[in-house]
Amino acid sequence: MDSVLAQAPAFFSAGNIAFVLAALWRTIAMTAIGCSLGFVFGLGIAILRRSTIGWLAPARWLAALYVETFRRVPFLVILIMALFALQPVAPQLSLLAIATIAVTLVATAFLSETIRGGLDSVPRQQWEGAAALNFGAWHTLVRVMLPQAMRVILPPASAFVVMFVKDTSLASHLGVVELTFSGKILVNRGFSPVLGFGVILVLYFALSWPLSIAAARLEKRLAAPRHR
Amino acid sequence: MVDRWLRRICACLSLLLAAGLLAPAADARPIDDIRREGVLRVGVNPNFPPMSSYGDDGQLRGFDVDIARALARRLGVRLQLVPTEAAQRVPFLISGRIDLSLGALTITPERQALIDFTIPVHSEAMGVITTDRVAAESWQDLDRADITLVNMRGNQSVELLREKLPAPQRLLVDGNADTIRAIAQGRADALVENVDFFIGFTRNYPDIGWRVLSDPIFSSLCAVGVEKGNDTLRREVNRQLHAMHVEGEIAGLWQRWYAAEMTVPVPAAEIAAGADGGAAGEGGASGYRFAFGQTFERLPYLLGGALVTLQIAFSAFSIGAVIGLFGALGKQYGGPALRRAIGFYVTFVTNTPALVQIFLLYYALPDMGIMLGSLTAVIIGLALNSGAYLTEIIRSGVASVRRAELDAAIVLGLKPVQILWHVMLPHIMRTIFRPLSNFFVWLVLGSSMAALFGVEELTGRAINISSVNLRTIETFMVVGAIYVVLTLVASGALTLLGRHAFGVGRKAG
Repeated sequence: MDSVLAQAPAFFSAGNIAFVLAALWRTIAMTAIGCSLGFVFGLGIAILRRSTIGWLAPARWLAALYVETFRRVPFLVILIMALFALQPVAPQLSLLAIATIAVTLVATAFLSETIRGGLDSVPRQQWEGAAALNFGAWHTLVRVMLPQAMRVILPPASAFVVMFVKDTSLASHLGVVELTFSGKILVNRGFSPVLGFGVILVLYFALSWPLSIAAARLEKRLAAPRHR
Repeated sequence: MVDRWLRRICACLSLLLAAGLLAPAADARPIDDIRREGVLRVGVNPNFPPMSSYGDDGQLRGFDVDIARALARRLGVRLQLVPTEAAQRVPFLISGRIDLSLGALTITPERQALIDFTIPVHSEAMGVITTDRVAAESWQDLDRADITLVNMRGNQSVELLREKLPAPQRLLVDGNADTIRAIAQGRADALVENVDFFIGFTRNYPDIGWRVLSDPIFSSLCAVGVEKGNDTLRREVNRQLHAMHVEGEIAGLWQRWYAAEMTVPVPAAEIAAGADGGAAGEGGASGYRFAFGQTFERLPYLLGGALVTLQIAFSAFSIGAVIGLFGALGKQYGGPALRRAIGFYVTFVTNTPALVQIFLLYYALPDMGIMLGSLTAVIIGLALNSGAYLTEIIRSGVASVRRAELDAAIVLGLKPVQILWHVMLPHIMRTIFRPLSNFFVWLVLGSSMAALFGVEELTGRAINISSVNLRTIETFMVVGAIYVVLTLVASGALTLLGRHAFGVGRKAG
């Protein structure tokens, strides 16, 4: 404890604070970009898997395969594979970009299932009604399906994002200087692990707690009309 | 049912294989391309003082950094430093991510099969770093079963030590700093490695009685790694390194960063070979070809790791389930203080990464006199997480038990344990079985983070294998497939268990 107090002034130097905040920003960027892209691609996969067009069957099969596989392999393994598979293809990609791609791959798989569940929850009569009113596929999706499905999709999807903020800590293994790795670098420089990792832990909490409160609020707000 | 699972397994395996086979080969950048683009990309270790590490200004500095800077200056191009962990030195070269790899890359036949080397830059002499706790005067004294040697994955010395010192136990860690920390915290007794590279970290632990046993076990030469077949670059770097040796620049830089001369000087004949750029290589072998042979050879070792993975998941799940059950009961029926304490625990644990929690358990607790082994620390960390998540899951089940049934049980004179077992549990299980089995799968996947603490479970063993055979993609494709099978089997078994034991999926009756 004494050593922690003794080190504190040196630890909270302007240089270190800027270093850790830059790392925090990378953690946020990785999650935000990865999960947003994952939502878009996941929506695509969910729509594809619900489509009934005959010649798309192989694509549906591949999509199902993709989703099953990427939900059943640890994120750490996907990170390592993304690193070694992407490097020959695109050597200029930064480690941060590679980690973000790995986040996208996993988020796509998980979010596509969430979105598919949401689309499935829209009663059959709704899209039959849309067809009867001569809505095209696009209008049926945007005007009829999504507005109703979002209510079901958003709570678990936001819970997934809150969960994934913490999983991005594994990207530290690739050498991405995100929040966890910044803590590791400071500890390796000689600062006490209590101080280094403790501060990192608090920062994760400061990031994740408001998000999870917001997610819980969202769930309550969206759920309310269903019980009326 | 079984048929469907089997089909899924086969399908997933084929996808993994297909994904790998699509990866194309990389191209080496010959010296002309590097000159034209004006950038030389050099891989240096970000955590390897005094070779290279981040200084207080957040910039990389050290012996390797200065060598890289000198080479770039002499080639007339800009330098781009690429942080490259020890285990990634060869893969980064093969993939063409970097042009040159530094980081004390020892010349070995395994590496020569995959990359080319320049003339040596410096030597390394293996000695022993230990403390006054250990009774040993020479390295031979360490060949005892009560000794634990710490080492770094991907270092050449790992295999060498298995030969020279077979008796001691081993702890494999990821970073240079982690080795010295392991000894300082008493997890290991000695490090047999290049003393020069590691001794700097002992300054982080001034209270330990550090000792260096000086007799060198073995000495070898380190050179700059170049992609296989990139002869134009290799020969140009050879000429520059030769000049740097002859002009005394390398010796001067060594003196500057190590405050000493090299323990074993680089032989003059090796240096002279670089004068005219050196012999042309056999060439040809550029690009990456898939080869699963070396991975399949180690399949039994990997499957053994899968058992450890399951062991971690089961242990953490069982402990977590007990914590979760009491947490849920406390939150539902306890007083305000207990409810608040449980709420705090759940909020705190579920809003911070398990990885950083385990970092704290593993690295910070020893400073308070509590020493946890890596496996124990990981299981405790994951169990604390499971406890928090399961508290929430089980609470939703507890809430589903109707008050009237509890009143009836009390009226019938059942004891609390009987009420819990016969009245509440069937209700709870039926409500929460699905989220529970999903959580177990999450835990199987999450246990992979144990690898980062040197636990030899599935992912850890994959990292171990791939850092020696350098077949990372192949190894991890096989390991990914094992995880898919593992979780499919677990999901399938849990679905059957739930249906038969608790009637999950049947209509409530």
